[in-house]
Amino acid sequence: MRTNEPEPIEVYLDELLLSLRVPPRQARRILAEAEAHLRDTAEALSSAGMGPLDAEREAVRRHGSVDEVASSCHAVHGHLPLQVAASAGQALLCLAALALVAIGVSGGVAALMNAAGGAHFVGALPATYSRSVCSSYLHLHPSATSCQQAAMLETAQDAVALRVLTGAVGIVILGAALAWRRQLRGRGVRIAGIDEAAAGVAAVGFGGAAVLLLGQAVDLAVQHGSGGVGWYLSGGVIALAAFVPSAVLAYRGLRPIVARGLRPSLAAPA
Amino acid sequence: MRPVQHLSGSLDLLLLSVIQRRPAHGYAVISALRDQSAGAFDLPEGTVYPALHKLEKQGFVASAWDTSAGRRRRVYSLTAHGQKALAAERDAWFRFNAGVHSVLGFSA
Repeated sequence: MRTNEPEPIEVYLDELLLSLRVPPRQARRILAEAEAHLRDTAEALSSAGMGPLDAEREAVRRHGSVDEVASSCHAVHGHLPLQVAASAGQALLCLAALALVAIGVSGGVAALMNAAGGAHFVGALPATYSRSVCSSYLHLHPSATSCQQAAMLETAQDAVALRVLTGAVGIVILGAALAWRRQLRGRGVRIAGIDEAAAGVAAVGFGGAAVLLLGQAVDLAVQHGSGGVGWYLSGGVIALAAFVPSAVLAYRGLRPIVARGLRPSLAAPA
Repeated sequence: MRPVQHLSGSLDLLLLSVIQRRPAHGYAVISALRDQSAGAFDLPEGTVYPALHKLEKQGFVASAWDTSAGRRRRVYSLTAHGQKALAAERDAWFRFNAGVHSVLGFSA
């Protein structure tokens, strides 16, 4: 007659499942092998004359503590929280790099605007400058007839040069981020939801930047005419262009996750 | 003669040696280890499986599910890479053992 005492092997497996912090395929394998081993051991002990419950307890004792077994598994298969942190870190680095690359591309757009609309369209921001700043601008642009004109030329140049330089740094960082991503994927680290969340953050970031920059461009145009509008317009256009694919990726990626409920999960290793 | 790849610890050498005799699942490997060592190697049985998984990651063993005996078990077998590594590590172990013997012999 069965007692109501919980079966030692079932209790052990439950505790092992809760202790494991490894990818799901590895967790399933570890549990399957542990259960087969425990039941084989208990069967052998029962055949040798031990009672079924005592045989299970002895099988569990011989198997080792849950902490011991779980630690050994983590040493071989990796620790999930660390993997999540690494995946999130790599996604954030990709995001930051893409933002820098977007700034670089906006510098290219500013160069086109300089060529098409003149330095006035990009560089003529409504600002006042101190005497020392004025003399440095005039020193850089000796052909300028006034401080305002020298500042306009300098600003129009900076809109291109500094942004393109930023974009170049972004490309280098993006290369490093993608290499890190490849390394993580090669080790079977793929956390479902991270890429989709990153697309969501990108959509919010680029969307917010687009609203801000385009709003500033419109405000400037209304208040001061076309002078300096290109400074904000070049950034706003690129931010908007980056927002659209980010929003599409985020929507496609996050909709099924939200639909099935917010439950942390792992993608199966490749 | 340098080993093909260093095997971390004696446990790896023992596991490969047992599996070399014939492919086996974890329970059979652990039982063989205990029986052949006359009880000298009696470690927490659950920790042997991560060691087998590590050997598989390193390419020394391969494994596959087997359900022939009524229960789903993972059976491990030695790869060609594992054979080479085992042979090299066995040689290194015997040389080490002979060296220790020799030193202890002089000390006695």
